[in-house]
Amino acid sequence: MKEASLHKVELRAKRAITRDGITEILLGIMLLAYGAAFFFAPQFALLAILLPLPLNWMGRFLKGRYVHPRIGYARAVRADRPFRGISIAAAAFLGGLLGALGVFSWILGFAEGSALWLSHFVPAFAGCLMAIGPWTVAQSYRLARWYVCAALFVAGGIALPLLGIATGYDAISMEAMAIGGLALIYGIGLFVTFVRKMPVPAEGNWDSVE
Amino acid sequence: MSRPESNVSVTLSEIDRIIHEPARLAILAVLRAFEGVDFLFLLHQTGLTKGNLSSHLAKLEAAEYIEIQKEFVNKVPRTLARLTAAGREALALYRKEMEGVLPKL
Repeated sequence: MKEASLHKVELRAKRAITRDGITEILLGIMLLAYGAAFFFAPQFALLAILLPLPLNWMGRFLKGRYVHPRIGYARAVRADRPFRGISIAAAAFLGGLLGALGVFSWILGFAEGSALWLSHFVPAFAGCLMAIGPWTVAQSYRLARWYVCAALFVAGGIALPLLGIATGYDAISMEAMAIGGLALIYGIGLFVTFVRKMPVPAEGNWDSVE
Repeated sequence: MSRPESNVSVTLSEIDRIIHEPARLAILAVLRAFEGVDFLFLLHQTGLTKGNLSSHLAKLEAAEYIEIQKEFVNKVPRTLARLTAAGREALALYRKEMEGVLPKL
């Protein structure tokens, strides 16, 4: 043990289960699928809601087949705090959303206020909303790449309409596809590195407590 | 001069010797971070040998600080260790005791 504190031992153990890149792969696939569905074929977008089911199965399969035989199995604690944080953030988001819509409609008139709202502010709010998940993961495991992901969501939601690349729901779809693609590539890189660097122990996943 | 020393020695003598061992402390720290972990995960995280880890786990189990469960996943045996409520309390108490003792040393 090289760690100087118990906290570091715990943190290192927690980070060990994120080294395989599977979460990034699943996030990447999900964002790509949602983004593409909304961008190219909105009529099929509802089907994308079912995506977490096969992704959950895929995650379990990859973990069981490639990760647990290499570094062992660890069952994460069901923490209450992140969910409380997410609830507060979601409430703040909805409050901000409704409040801003009211203010814009009141100042600019209903038609213009709604148009500006939909083109510029919905992507920004959606970016902030999508950043909550990565930010929660980053807080739990103190992982820089998840902080970067959260920052990309926030920055992308603001920048795409401002730079005139896309507005409204197109901007949200493009942002999801771009960040999803990056997450998928990064996750595959992590996964390949993990599998190559962590061989399965020669004795297999033995078990020696009598 | 002798008074503080005796105070320190009294406090030190009260420290839980089951936990006050680097390997067992590391095992408990890893277990505290999860609901349950298997033998291989503990081996990787603690850097102990198989035999060493087994013996430390047995001691922690005898003290009822952890519980060991055997289960089968896809016909493969898995030994799952988890921290008990008593273990969690003992670890928290140990932390407090050490925080109290260390400034006096």
